[in-house]
Amino acid sequence: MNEEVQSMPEEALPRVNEFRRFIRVLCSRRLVAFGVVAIIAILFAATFSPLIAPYDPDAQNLDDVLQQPGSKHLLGTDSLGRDTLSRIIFGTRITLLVGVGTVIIAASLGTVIGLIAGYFGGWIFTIIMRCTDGIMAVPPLLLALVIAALLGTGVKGVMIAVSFALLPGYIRLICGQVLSVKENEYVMAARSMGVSKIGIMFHHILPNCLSPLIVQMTMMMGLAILIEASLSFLGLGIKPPSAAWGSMVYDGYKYLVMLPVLSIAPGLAIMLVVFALNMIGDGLRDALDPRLRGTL
Amino acid sequence: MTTYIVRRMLHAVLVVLIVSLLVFLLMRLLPGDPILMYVTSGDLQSTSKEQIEHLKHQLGMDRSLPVQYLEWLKNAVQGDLGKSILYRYDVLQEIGNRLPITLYLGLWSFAIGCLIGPLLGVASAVRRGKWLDGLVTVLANLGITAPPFWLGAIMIYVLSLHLGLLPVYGYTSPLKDLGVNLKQSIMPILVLATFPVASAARQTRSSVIEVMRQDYIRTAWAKGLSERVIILRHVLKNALMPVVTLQGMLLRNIIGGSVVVETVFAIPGMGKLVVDGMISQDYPVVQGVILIVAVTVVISNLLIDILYGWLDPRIQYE
Repeated sequence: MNEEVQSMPEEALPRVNEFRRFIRVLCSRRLVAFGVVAIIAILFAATFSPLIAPYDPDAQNLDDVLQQPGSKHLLGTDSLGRDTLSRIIFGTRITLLVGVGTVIIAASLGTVIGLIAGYFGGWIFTIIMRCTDGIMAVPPLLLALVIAALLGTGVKGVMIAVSFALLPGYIRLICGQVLSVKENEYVMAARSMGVSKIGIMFHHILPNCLSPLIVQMTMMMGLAILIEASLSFLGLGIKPPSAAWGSMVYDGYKYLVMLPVLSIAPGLAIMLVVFALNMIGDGLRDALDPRLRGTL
Repeated sequence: MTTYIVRRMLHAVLVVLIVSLLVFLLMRLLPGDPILMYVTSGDLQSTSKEQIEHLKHQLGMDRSLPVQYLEWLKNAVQGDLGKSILYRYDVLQEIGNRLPITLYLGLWSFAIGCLIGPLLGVASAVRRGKWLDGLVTVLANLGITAPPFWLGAIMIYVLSLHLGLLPVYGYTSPLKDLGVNLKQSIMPILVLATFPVASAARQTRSSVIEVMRQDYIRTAWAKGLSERVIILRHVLKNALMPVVTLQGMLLRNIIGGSVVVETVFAIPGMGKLVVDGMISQDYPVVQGVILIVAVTVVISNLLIDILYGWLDPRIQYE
């Protein structure tokens, strides 16, 4: 008894190291560290947009139409005299809202459906998997486009549309994880102790699916943002006057010759966010991979 | 192998049926009414309720959903995808005119992705940690993040407007004028190929690195085999398996990407058709396009599955 108490601090130590190792691995690659910094900056910009942005993003100023980048407007102004930099800063809000929103919807629904398919197996598994095969046969952008257009343009419609298009990826991932986890001894043990099916699913199987799920969520957030931007670009996503980066690129098209910055700047913003998310996803995959534990 | 192929084919048919049901339900259950679009688009502002009912009856839209679905499916199997509600053209015929354009651009991009992507990936993995690896890794990561419509804008700005090398947009059939066709197709193909090249390079790089860690590769080195033999005979054969699976996804995404690219470069392909159809809520057009796209994707996946089963015989017994 006494010995056990004494060994406690030593037991606790590896846990702290584990977390340190996680942070160290995550930040050891320069690109991943860059991603973390970029995302923090973007979160900051989204939270404090009104304080950072030099102008009101929607304020039209017809005296200052299509200005070249300069000291007054760092990235110029669009055809309605709106400040491009301010619109990009406020655009972080829509982008993050859509990114986070779709990931939450798709990941939670996908996790539940994937758990059910993987755990129960049999005809439930067959039906769910054939349906995901069906959805996956249609390019996600095309599917999101159809649903977004039918639901009517707007943040809510876009979020539902993109979530639906990305849902099969989550279902497959979780289902595959469940299939590989559910034959383990600890699941058998829980079952023999009379734990309910739901209890086994959520307390014993789900925690073991979390690492790949987190990686997938980070990567998919980038994809969701790209799809939203494409929809907005096509005019079937988030409608003006909201400052969506995709529709800003489209608006800038007409002035590509005289003011390329109108199209290029919001596109760079999209790339920065998606790049940062992908890098963090890569880093998380390395940091959470138990096979690499100790080697990194 | 035959049982495996037959099983995969049955599966493919089932997937196509599910897609057809999915698309049909999506178009009918979600809000939006093409009849109203049709009525308000013309000078039919004063159309009476009876006329609308008559129109609905004519188009068969007053019947129950299962009946409509079975009718549509029956006709689709016989090669009749219906007529556009708005413009009255035959949907299958229109798709027949446009599909070759989308496939022409798509297959070029796919071929570039299949060749250049893995090549870059292998080169980068073999020279791991050197400048080539760093360059490929950064470029590949940028390539999978660049929005295609934005890449298109940059290319138009640099290559067309600034340097005046290529036409800004348009499409001419290669049968009509190959020179003009090639000039017009370079930018759309490059834009479409960026994602496949980048993601194939990433995937190849990581799977080659994974395989190089295996014991049998160490054995091969220990046997004193040359680097060339080890890479070509031992590493590549195993490392390319996940890359082959990736190709099915890439082809699907190229077709998806054509929606954007065809809009940017004003190319009259399937992507443009579906965007226009969606804006005017022309059910038969959108349903038809998605069905044909899904069939294309499913057939290509079927071929990839068969190739995979042939490359890795273990798959057949799963």
